[in-house]
Formats: sequence, structure tokens, C-alpha cells
Amino acid sequence: MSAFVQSEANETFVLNLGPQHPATHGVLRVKLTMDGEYIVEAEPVLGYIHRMHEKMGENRTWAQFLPNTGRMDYLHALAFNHGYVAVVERAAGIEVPERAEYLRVITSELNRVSSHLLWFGAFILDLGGFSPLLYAFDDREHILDLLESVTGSRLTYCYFRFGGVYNDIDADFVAGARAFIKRLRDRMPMYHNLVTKNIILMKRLQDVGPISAEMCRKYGATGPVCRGSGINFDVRKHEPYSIYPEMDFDVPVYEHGDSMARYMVRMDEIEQSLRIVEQALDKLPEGPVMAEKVPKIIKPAKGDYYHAVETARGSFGVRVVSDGTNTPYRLKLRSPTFSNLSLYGEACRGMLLPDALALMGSLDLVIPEIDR
Amino acid sequence: MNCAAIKQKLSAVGVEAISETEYARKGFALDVQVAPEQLVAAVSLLDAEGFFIEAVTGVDWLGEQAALRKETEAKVAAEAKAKADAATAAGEEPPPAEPVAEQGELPEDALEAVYDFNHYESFCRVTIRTRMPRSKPEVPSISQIYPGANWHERETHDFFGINFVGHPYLVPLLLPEDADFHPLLKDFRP
Amino acid sequence: MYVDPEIIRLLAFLVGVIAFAALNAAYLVWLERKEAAHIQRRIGPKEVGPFGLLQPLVDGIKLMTKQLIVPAGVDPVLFKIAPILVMVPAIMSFVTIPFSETLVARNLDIGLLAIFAFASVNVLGLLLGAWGSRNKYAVISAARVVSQNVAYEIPMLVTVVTLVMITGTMNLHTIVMQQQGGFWHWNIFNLSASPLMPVAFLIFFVCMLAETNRAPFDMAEAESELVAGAFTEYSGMGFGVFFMGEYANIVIGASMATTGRF
Repeated sequence: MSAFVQSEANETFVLNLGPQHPATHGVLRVKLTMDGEYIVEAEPVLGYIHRMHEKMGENRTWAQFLPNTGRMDYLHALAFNHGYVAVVERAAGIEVPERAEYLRVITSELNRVSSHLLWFGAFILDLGGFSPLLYAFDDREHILDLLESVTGSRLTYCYFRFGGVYNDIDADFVAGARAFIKRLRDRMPMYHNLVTKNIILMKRLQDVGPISAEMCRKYGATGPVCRGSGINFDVRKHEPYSIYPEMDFDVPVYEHGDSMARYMVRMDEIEQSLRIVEQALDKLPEGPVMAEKVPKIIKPAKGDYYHAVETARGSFGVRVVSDGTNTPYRLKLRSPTFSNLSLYGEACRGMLLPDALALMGSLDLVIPEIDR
Repeated sequence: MNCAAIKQKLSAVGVEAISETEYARKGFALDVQVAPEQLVAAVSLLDAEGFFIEAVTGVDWLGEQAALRKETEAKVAAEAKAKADAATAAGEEPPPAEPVAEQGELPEDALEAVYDFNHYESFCRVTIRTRMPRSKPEVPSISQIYPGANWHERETHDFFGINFVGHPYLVPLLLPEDADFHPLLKDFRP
Repeated sequence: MYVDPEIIRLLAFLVGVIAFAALNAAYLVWLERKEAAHIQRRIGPKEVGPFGLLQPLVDGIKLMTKQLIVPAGVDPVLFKIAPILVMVPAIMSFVTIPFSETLVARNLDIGLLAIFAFASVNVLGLLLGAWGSRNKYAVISAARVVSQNVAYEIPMLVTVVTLVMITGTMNLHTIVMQQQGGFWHWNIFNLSASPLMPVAFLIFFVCMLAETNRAPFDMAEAESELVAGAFTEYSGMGFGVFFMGEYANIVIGASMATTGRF
């Protein structure tokens, strides 16, 4: 990347990237002040798909809000399910049977793999390569079929319930999941040969969009964005929830902080998620998938409660304030990409337009989750 | 570095109240109540300790004071009744009911701004709360310390109308650019 | 009434070349889509006609029946003239391409030069279209196209000059005739003239990719960042003509490679 020196004439123009643009993956608008093809200033403009989920939460019972969670991050809906049910279970003191916890981890890790696969395809598409997208979709389709067989839906899942999950898995699912793990493991070398080792990809990603660890901290970046900057932070390890402490998996961390590092983190995470699913399938205990003594109407004790989970994009936290009634008094959803995107303006200053789009792709944006 | 050390340092800043909460029960480790004036000092301390910002949000406590008064009144009434019952049981003449004390006007309800901080290495989620009167919701901005707070504060301003003094660009973020309403206030009617 | 048979011959050629260019564009697209589909584990066009062979035809009809929207604020003259400016030089270049020993519209002595002259107009057309459509993406794209094409035209010209030096003529017909009689006569293997002839061809090939804005040189269209590049505001046949011009240019490039080297 050549150093950018703004011309003395100060001749800039404003380029509206979006809200309808192929690279923004939804209705995000970025107001770019450009000097030629160099970006002088970038200001993301949000809110085009804002639905006020937090207000919706205050107007319906604890259980009625559950389907909303799947509609924020439509790519890793099960983790959002998990965050919400976990905080309500924490508030109401509901115990979850062990088998249900295993099912939660298995399904949400499979969902994480599907999210990363879609990101992989879309990211390469952003860089101008079309074929990997279809290969990734091919693999993702298997996960969607598996998850459909157990959750009943393919994208906006609402599978977790307070006190467990709503449906048990069968032998077909277990066999299918094992077959899928084998299939994806066989195909990962192909992805690396086809894409990761591709010289064009390397030139497009290496040293592009560096994000320092300090910048991550100041902006509160989590997930692969901070792990690509050398910060070993994963909610699954940091404040373990569900049965993650019993699982043996690594947190891939890359020091370099460029787009390539974030790319590598996600590619490695696919393998780690497969490991978790494999172990969980091995250890899967028998038993009920739903706690027996879950009250019909949930009325958590007064006070506020927080629970964070690791989604495919970072730490998703839910803060609920309960006033002891059957509806939340206040429901705060801390979505990971909101913070991850907030550093975009600073990170892409002085970059070329194509590099800035590579950086945007490497942040893995899901707009409905940012806007909520 | 652990939570106890942070707690001590924060107490030195002069916060109103600080308590260690049970993580498994609440999901955060330190619950800190500060006055708006001390917010910047407390946040600077967390910044120096290497915390990262998780979220900024608000809570509208409309009707809290009324509920509190009702509660105390109920408590007083219950106590009086218990006393009377005890007296009757002992065969004594029940004492004349005490006149209910006039309590004057209700104190104003508060808006609360809630800041969540977390640490990449150590296990300590700190929640800082600060309360301000509903009629004049003003709190200093921390976007100079944490640039990431910029968007969080704008969002909170959208939803609650909390005015973050010193914020460089306090325009609606998620709501339409001409929005002059604050949907998460409890008295908001669309 | 006497009509010069030469004029009739030229007219016939014109019709033939336009038909050739259009059909070529249509079926190159079909082939590209089909090939790409198979690489990407898809089927590609298959609904219209056997193996989707009629798909390009239907696409053409669709493009022609669509309204040519002229957005508010564009320069209508430039906007409308630009596709033609891209298409016409590409068609004109066919004039000197020898399709066979006798099948050539005009056997010019400066055939190579003429083709290069026409090829450089094509860039102007794109630039005008982009400027006229008053779209920032289009202007950025046009700036890229111009700089890329100008940059790659120089090495391409140099390689072509080597060809002229070896053959001693710019007449494409003569160049072809010199190479008849087996592959060892091809200019690409004319190692006695220069051992670097295959390298020159490689350079020519790369430059040709850049000139015609094909991957990996498709920075002009770069659809993930510049939406559709210079064509962003074009709809219907405006886009269709641009498209045909692009593909005609590809054919020109391919025929230059064929006549000059093989």
C-alpha cells in the first residue's frame, strides 16, 4: 500500500457507498470523502434496517421475545438465541439439563461453521472471486439441512427454550453431523489451496487494513477482529458458559492485525468448531432436553443481569433489567459488529477504495445485527 | 490485576457506591455507582487499567419513586397492623392508629446511564451506573477516552435523550436523522 | 442504375460483420456462462432451447425491449453516443481482418496500424459514457479503464512492432500468408528472428487481457466496489451495445493474436 498524501488543492468529493451497494452486504451506507481513489474520511451511516428490538422486548413477555433474537444476526442466530435464553435462565434461576446444553453447543457450533462459510464466500466475492462462494454454499447447504432436521428452520432459528431446547436430535442427525465433519475436513485443504495460497488474495489482504490491539481495545472490538490483532479473547474461554469448559479447543490468534490475519482466524475457527462438535457428539449424555420445573410464566427476581456469548462475529451480550413482572423492564442487546464497525472510520483513513472494501469484508458485517 | 484491586482503586476515585456482585448470579463482577461528575475519572482509571468498552446504555426509572413510596407506605401500614394485632392478642386496647405522615412531593425520577467494561485478559466485568434527573439528563461524554463510546453514546442519546456533554457529534445514529423522539423512555407514546 | 459492386461487397461485409460480432458476443457469453457454471458446480443456462442455446437470443430480445432509461441530470448526447462510440470502432476493426485468403473487406497495407487506431477510440467511448452518466462510480471506473488501457497499450505496441520488424509489413494478409505451411512457420516460433518471440506473445496476451478488461484485469467493472463500473447507469440496449462492443474487442484481440502469430 502506497502512502497517501492528500493533495494540496484539497479537492475531495463525497462518494455514497450504499445503502444499496454490492459490497455492503445489506443496507449499510458509508459516506466516503475521497481524494481520487484515496479515502480521506469514512463515516458509516446506520439505521436503515433498525427495528427497535429493545423496545419490542419491553412490550412482550420474556418468552415472546425469543424469536426476535434469531432475526438480528441471521447468520449465527443460534448464538443469539443462546445469549438471550442464558441471561433469562440466569435471572430466573432455571437449571438446564446436561443433554440440552450439549445440543445447544452442537447446533450453535454448526451454525458458526455455516456463518463462517458464508462469510468466506462473500468475502472472496467482495475481492472479485466468484467461484469460492458457490463452493462454500455447497458445504453450508449440508449444515442447513442438518439444522433444519432438528430445529425446523434454515436461517432464523428459534430452537432454544428457557430450560433446554425444544426438540431432541436423532441418530440421523448424529450420523449426518459426523459425515459433514469428515466432508468439510476433506475440503478445507481444497479451500486453502484454491484461495488462501492464491497470490492475488495474498496481495489483496496482506498489510491491508491494519488494526492495532490498542485500537481494538478503545473501540471494544471482539471476536475474530480482535483475535486477528493478537488479543487472545474468546468469551467461550474467558467467561465459560454452557459446557464449553469441558471441550478441548484452541482459540486461533494471529498477531499481524491485517485483513489476512482476520481471514486466517476465521478459517482456523472452522476447524476448532468442528472439533467441538465432534467432542460434544462423543460425550453426548442421555437424558431430557428440557428442564422439568420451568414455570409457565417467567418472572425473574428484580435486578439486572448480564450474559455474554461468543458469536461468529464476537461477544454478544444481553443485559436485562427485571422488575419482577412477566415482561422485561429493559433489554439491552450488545451486538458485536456494532463495536467492530465503529472502528471502520478510523481504520480506513488514507486507504484506497478497493482496500477499504477488503477491510470492510474482513470485519464480517451483518447489518440487521448492527442496527437491531 | 484482579477485581479487588480495581475495586480499591475505584473507591479511591470517590464513587458513590461500589459492590462486588456474584458473577454466576448476575453476570458481572463489579457494580459501581458514580455521580455524573466522577464518571470521567472512573472511566479514565479503567482505561489506564486496560479495560475495553463493551456497551453504553440507559435505563428509564420512571415511576420508581412512586413505587418506592408505595412500598414504604405499605411497610409502615403493615408494621402498624402487626403492632395492633399483637396488642389485641395480648388483650390490650389497640393503640390509636398513628396519623400517616405527609410526605410531600415525590422526588424526581431518574434516568440511568449504564456503562459496561470488560477486560481482555482478566476476568472482571465492571458495570458503571450514573443517575441523573429526568428533566435534565446530562452526563459527561467519555468518547474522548474511548472513541468506541462515540457510537454507543449516540445510540443512547437516540433512545433516551441523554445528553452527553462534550460529545463531538451527537446526532441520531440508528433513528432517522430528523428524529426528535426517544423511544425507550417509558412515557414515550408513538 | 449502376452500382459499384465494390459498394455492394462492402455493404454485404458490413452486415456480415455486425451479425458476426453480435452472434459472437451472444455465444461467447453463453460459453462463458456455461463454463463458469461447470467450474462452480452449477448447471448454467439450460431452460431456453437445448443446453440453453437460445438463452443469448432471449437475453438480446429482453435487452432490446427494455426501455433505455436516461436518468435525470445526465448529458443526454454523450450518454447516448458513448455505446455507439465503443461499438463502431470494434466493428470497423473487422475491415482489415482476413477471414480467409479471399474473404477480407479491405486489404489495407496499414492493417495493423488501423486496428490500433480504432482500438484506442474504444477507451474514449467508455470515458464519455461514464462522464456523461454523471455517476461517481462510473467516473472512477472510467479513470481506471483509461489509465489501464493506456498503460498496457505501450507494451502491446512494442510487441507488435517486433512483429512488423520480422515480417516487414503491416498488411495482415501478407503476414498471414508468410506463415502458411505448418506450425514451424508461425511467427511465435520464428526463433531465428528472435529467440524471445514466445515471450513477446505472452506479453501480448497479458496486454490483451488488460485492454479488454477481462479478469484479472477487470478493475474497471470491479462489481464488488464500483457496482457496474462505467455501465452503472445504462439499461436496456445501451448496456447491450457496450457489451457487444466489449466482446467484439475480445474477438479482435483474438484475431490479432491469430493473424499475427499463428
